[in-house]
Amino acid sequence: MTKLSAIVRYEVLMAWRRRSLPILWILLFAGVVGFALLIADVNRQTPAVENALQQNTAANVPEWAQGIDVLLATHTIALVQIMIAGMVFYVIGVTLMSGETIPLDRQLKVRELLDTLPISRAQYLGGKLLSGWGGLVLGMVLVGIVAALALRLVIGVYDLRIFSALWVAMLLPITFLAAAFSILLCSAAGSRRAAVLIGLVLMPVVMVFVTLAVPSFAGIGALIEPIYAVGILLMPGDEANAEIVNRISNTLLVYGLALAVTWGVAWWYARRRETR
Amino acid sequence: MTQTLTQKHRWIFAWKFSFRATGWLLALITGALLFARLMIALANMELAESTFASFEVVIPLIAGLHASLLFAPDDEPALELLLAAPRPPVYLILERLGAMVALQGGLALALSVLAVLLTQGANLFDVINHWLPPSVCIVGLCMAATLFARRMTFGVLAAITLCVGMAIGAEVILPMFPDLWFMVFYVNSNILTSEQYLVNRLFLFTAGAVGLALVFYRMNDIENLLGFGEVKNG
Repeated sequence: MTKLSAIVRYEVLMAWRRRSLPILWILLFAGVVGFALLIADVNRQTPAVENALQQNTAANVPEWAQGIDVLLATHTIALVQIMIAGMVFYVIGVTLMSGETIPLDRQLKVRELLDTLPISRAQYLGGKLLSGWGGLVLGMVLVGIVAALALRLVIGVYDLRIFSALWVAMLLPITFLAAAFSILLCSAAGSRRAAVLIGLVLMPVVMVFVTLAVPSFAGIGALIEPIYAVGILLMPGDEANAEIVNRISNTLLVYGLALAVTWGVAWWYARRRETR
Repeated sequence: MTQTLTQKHRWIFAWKFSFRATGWLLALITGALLFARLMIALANMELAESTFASFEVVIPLIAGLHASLLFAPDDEPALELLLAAPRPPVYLILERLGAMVALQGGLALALSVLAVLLTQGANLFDVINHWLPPSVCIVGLCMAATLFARRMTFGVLAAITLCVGMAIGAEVILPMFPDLWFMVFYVNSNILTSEQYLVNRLFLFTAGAVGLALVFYRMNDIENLLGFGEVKNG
């Protein structure tokens, strides 16, 4: 455990010093706030929730729409679109920048030194992976706080509970998966150049997993307030909530499976390399 | 005396090494993508016109990625040795850029000629005008991003961000901020006057040229290239 935490601490420090982490954090902030600036303008021109609710007369207002603060709901639904765009932007950066973690050991000729240390393959790969995840989580917490304030200025009032749920559910799983793909599969590369090329090849694969995240995790707000099912084009209600829970479970299962397979491939490759 | 001086300054280009360092994989991908697009156009001539739009998207993106991978001081295996060679350090960039232009540019030009031959009423100058200025712009900016950040990851990220940003720019940002027409890569020539389109293309050329000028300028600063004052952590 001490060895693992030492690898994690050292790798996070190195990622910070070689400017990978700050760049990723800036990318996340720029993606979210940049798209918020774009969408805020479109939102002012076409207030979707307001239009939808105005079509309902007082008599036929559905249960989920009663007592809704239209302005708050409109702004919060816009958050879903902002988070989707920000997520895509961030995941591209994570896939490209995380790949260098293991190849750098070889490029800087310290891999032979590391091989002399009493650490297992699983500890080495696990330490690298956890350090990548640790740096990303740290950034998500810090950028999340700053982005929450910035979004308040850009789009106005919104439901902070939904923002927090979206921030965690939409960013965390796909970011972890993209980082795992990049760190583990680029472990075969001997240089940063090769890692960048593998990252480019991985990008379409990661985008396939991103498309799974959109109709599932983007609907998490509906589990707090049913109206936010509108954000993923579902009719609010119990059926929509059951559908969202089902989608989230399936997506998490697929992500878990992909992670396990990736870990297996990287571990097998490391073992094969050592026995050669 | 004159002869000695002439000999002293006749620097040699290392073309073989440069082609190897530049790599042909990305040029091959460009060729394969564009050739596949041409085949699709041949199968359905109604789609032939949009082939040029594919040229505009594919060539600058892959040229930008290729340019990012050309020369990064931190990722260069024997930088000290390369800089110790008896010739100006800028040759390192010049010859790799030349190799990349020969590969990517030659292929793009050949396929443009082929596309023009296959498409009735198409003009070679128009086709080249679609992809050349954005390519120059992205190559200059990405090479500068890689060199100044010392790592190719930043250049690659810049290439992808620029292309995605410009695609969004053409569809989303331009309708909101119409005054930005002069800097968008994938601008529709039908919505601009011919003068505006010319300014757009010239601006992109200039931006790329400024990027390249910064790269050449930086290459003369050997201390910076070696990373003195940088944190030595990769």
